[in-house]
Amino acid sequence: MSHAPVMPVEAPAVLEWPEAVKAEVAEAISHYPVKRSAVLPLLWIAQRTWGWLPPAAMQLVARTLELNEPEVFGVATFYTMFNLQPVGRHHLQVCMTLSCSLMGADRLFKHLEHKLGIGHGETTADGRFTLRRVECLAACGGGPCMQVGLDYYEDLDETKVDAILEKLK
Amino acid sequence: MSMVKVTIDGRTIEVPAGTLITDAAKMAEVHVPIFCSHSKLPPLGACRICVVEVGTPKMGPDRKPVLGPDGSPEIAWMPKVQTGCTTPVTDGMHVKTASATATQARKGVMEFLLVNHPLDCPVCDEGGECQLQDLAFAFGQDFSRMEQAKRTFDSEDLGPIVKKEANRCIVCMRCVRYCDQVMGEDALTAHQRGAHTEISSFNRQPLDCEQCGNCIEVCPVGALTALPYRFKARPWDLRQHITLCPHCSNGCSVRLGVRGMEVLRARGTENRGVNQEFLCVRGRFGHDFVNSADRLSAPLVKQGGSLQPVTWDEASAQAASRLRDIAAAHGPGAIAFLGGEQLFTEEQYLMQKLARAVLGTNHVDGRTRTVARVPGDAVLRATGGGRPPLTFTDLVNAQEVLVLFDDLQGESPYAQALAIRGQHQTGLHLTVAHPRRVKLARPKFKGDWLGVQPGAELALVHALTKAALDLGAPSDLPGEISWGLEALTKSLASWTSERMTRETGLSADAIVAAAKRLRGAERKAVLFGRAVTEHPQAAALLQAIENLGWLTGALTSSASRVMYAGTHSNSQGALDNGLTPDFLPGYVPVTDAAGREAFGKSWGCTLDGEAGMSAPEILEATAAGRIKALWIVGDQWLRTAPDAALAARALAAAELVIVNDLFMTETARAAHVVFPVASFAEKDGTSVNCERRAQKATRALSPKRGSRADWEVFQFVAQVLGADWRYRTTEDVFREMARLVPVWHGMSWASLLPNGATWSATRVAGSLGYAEPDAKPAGEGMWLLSGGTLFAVDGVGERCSSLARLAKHARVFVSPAEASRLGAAAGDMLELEGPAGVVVLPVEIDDSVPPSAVFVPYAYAGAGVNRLGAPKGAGLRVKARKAAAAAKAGA
Repeated sequence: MSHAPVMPVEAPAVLEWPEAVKAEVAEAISHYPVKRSAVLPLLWIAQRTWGWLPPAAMQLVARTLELNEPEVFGVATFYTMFNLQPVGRHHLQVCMTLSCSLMGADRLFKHLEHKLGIGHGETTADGRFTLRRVECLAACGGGPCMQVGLDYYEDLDETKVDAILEKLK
Repeated sequence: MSMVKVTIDGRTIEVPAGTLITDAAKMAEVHVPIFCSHSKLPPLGACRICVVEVGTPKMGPDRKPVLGPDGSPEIAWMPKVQTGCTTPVTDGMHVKTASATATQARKGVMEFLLVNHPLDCPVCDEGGECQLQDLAFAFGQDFSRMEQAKRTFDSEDLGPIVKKEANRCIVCMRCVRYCDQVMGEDALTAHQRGAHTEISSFNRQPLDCEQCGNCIEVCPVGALTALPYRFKARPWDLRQHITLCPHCSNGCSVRLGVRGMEVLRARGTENRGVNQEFLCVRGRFGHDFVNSADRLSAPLVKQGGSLQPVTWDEASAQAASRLRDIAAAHGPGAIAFLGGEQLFTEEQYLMQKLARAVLGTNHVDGRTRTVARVPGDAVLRATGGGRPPLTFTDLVNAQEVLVLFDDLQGESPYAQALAIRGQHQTGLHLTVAHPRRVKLARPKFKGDWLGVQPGAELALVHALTKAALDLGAPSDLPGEISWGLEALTKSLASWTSERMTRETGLSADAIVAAAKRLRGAERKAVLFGRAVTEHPQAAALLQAIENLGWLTGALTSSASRVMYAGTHSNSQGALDNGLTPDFLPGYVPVTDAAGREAFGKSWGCTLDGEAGMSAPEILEATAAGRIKALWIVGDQWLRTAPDAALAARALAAAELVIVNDLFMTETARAAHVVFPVASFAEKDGTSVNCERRAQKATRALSPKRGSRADWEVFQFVAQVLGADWRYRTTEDVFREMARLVPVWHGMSWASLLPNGATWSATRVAGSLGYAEPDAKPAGEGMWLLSGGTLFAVDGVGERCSSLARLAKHARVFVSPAEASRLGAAAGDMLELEGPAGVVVLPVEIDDSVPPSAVFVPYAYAGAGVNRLGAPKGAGLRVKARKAAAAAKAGA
């Protein structure tokens, strides 16, 4: 699965929920007895909507949930899966934790770096790929593994990775 | 409260159940180190430095303590050390703070805390007064087993006040929690996680907050330091003196750090003063005016149209001889004294003694901003007539707090912080009556906002009183009050719910609910301040607040739960010490022959038995030529008088104007004699805060060369006028006051240390009364709202570099709706036209301002609200329109 449209780096100062997700936002809030509990679901919706979390999106979440902006910022920065910088259309997250490491994750990551010409946390110039090392993806049985967007690829080696990249436009 | 016995390092003490081990240890005088724990914050247990060994009596199968061979209970020690700051004591608990296990554990914690802490103490502002440094010496070791590189962050300026060096942070979270729970600002948060946790603002932007710097104060290390003080001094180079903050009536203690003749910083002090470590931005950064190069350094006398420096002898001789001439030619009633609310109590006493005993005039009034005559005891009666007053401790523990028309953010920052802490920690409920949606009225604090229509203040208090009366009058009213109940019931009968809504613009339900909450609460507080005393109908409003107090039980025969936060640091002292035209010190009426005689006998004179003119009357009379000599003490009258044009006319018309000030103000420029006086930091004395607590201030440095304390000025002039005044220090004055003035009987400076004392021996009889609100001024125009704001503070504020930067410039605040109606965007110039003049100010859009009103904070240089004319009746309406482009260029 590829990412939603990538917002330009110059994010707008003020964001509003698009009509399409308003119902989903309301539903997420309705799941909890107190509004503030919906901060993670709403950050997810925001990230899905805009591809990453520009400050204006965090402010929007704070406004929606009557939270303080710094509080939302603290939550968003706590979790590594929220992108606080724009990411490419395909977000390659390579697991570096024990099982995958033993199975050659390091080699795989170097291969990706070499092939794409970018390092950890960087995005290709054409905005196609962002490469990132991550901690355990909980697919230890299939290491080394990689998450692209929301999809998992397991039992990887260089050839398989090249084939995957080929398919991702 | 049940008490439990606990033994800490062999010392057995009794403490209330639920006390935390660290607090119990403090009571037992055993030192347990802490970083994250703070007396004003709930326990967290983040830093673990307070670990101790804890044991409780071993219980047998019969649930009875097992006794050892010596007959004392056997102790079952917990297998691991516990954090003292989160563990409450239980009965029979034993604690070891210095055992081998505890020491070893603490050493380990210290080693972890130092894993990432840089060794930059020599360049750290905190070095020398750093808790981490101290505790590392006490409990740490001289090496670390950690060889990895330390994690590093970039240093950041979080706005103009706070400097962050995150490398030094030990993530105790004190700053984040203090900002949230005490300041209610939530400007700080912890970012990232684990070892990379970093304290910062939203998206690392400059802090958008009150800039109080309390995060700096509570930071146990040098992670947050004050930019204005950065690299200025080392703490051991500073002489530190605890004195009183001059900026508002809360009376916080500030610890000034002085090097040479320069005040370099101000801090709070744990266990000292009403505020302890708390200071607001004004207290913490509003002191550098003391060092200002603009300070006057010699007395000035007008010669040939310009002010020329002269010696002190010449200046006092000049002032005295001209005062004597005017008194001889026109009678003593041609002399008036204004200002003096910022002076120390002793100086206020001498000021009115000079006026009354030496010159023979009762025209003395400290309340220069009032627009109508207010009886000198009205405030005292509204706050319980001398009954034991509401203290800050009562305030923070209250269940219901009603704030009447004051923006505490600007007027009483410490009271605001207490209300916020109470709201966070003990479920205090706030009801804020204010036309603007001020900070405390925001939804964040879960209170109720009575957004009263401008000009309907008196109507709202009547409506609240009526609602309280409908619930039944309290049973324990003193005789003089229950006496007036019938008449008041009759007067308030017209306040039906329709009338409440019509006159206040609020739903009657909201008013009734607010009255019910206040009436029903066991612990309550009512706060009011200058918005009431400076109201055109101040006397009626104060009476109405007294009614409300009695009928809601905020005033009882034994105590008062109503607090008055005056305009200046010692406004309460000014009232207590006779800086009112109708009362001698200690609320002895001028018209009371016996009281007058008692003072006259000690002062060696006969006192005038007719009440003098109040400040607004003095203003009119001077402009009309009936008063020939004005002595203005520490007051920028041209800015503070209710009508600037009238004040300018008065200054021009007066034959003699004497001004005491630190700076060459516009008012001083119009004077004939100017006395350069010492600042708050340069003299000893006492000051009475809004809790009516008299506190002792100690001078931190000697007066700037060429200036003298105000009391010395009064004494010089009195001596030239032939008075036999021989005060060597202000303590001599206080001794005389303690002898003569009823409220100070039996007090001495020594009895005021360390944290002040409250007088409540004198009683002024209360009463109920009723006055109809004045009709609202008819016609078009927007309501002019004025009041204090946090950063700007009269006169001296603009000479404090940090405050001046934060305050920016004078401007007019309008609601977004009004702005679009006027076609004005932020930064456009808006022309305000009042009955007496026009003021042009840039627009700032602010959604806390109600529609059909403009808000102009008064304390800005050049805001010139008083150029628009004095408010009358219910208030002042001004016409607002967007100024032509030419005006923008001109301004």
